[in-house]
Amino acid sequence: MQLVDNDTFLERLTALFNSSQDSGSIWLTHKRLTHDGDDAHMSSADDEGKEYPCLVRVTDGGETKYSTKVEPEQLARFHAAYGALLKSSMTTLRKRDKKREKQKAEELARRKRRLAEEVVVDGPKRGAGRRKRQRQTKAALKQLEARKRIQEREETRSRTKEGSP
Amino acid sequence: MVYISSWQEFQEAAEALYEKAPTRARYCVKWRASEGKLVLKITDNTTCIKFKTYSSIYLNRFEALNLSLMQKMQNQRPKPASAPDVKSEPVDAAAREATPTPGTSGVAGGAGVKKKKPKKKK
Repeated sequence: MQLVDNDTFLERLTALFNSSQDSGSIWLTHKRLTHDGDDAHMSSADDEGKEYPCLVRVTDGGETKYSTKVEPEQLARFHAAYGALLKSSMTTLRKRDKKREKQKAEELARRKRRLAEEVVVDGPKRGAGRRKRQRQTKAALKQLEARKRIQEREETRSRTKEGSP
Repeated sequence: MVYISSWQEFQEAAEALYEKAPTRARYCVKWRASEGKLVLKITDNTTCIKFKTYSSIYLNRFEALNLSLMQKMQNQRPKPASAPDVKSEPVDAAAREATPTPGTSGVAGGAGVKKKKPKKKK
């Protein structure tokens, strides 16, 4: 691991992005730098308002590893360059596909509409249309289950939301 | 390890997790160019949440999340003055030109997305 300054780090990062274009991955790790040569202070109440440097590491999973220390006053400058570099390097991400998004939204709306509509069971109990009634009952049951599932999911979601803040 | 599929939820969970354990939590980004795959991970050694995407529509939000997490790591109060700072920095003109307002829209990304949603519903 080699500690380099911010600009060198960005240069090395650019080089890594270029070399991993065809194969391989790169990893970026961000964390608070709580020590400065000494042991780390894991929890002390008095440094509530203290500002720390931020450590950014990059590796390709092999021997290439670099890290840099971002001081609080340099963050705006560093992030502007860093964010721009990430955005311009991640070019193989899928482009925004409006057609597909629309299709998906329509599909979702259709499913919602169908869920809201009650399934009517009106086929004859016996005789020629018996199968029809059976199918309808099955569909009604399925709808009921789907509704129950959705309700449960919403409940757990609202519960976790209440718990987190 | 849990993949969260919605960005909004991931962002909230990630920020909450960092606030919970600021000295232990770390934030990892994995980028696989050949597949165009981006995986974000934040963990404090007990909880681990992840988000993965192949889509470029998250790039601006990703950038905003990076900034907000790094600010949290430095224990900075999110000042309103830091936003124009980012914007006015003379950086790679080409990268900036392609996305003229990522600084502004990105910084307010979380809030912006949140505000937009109810509007759409109405």
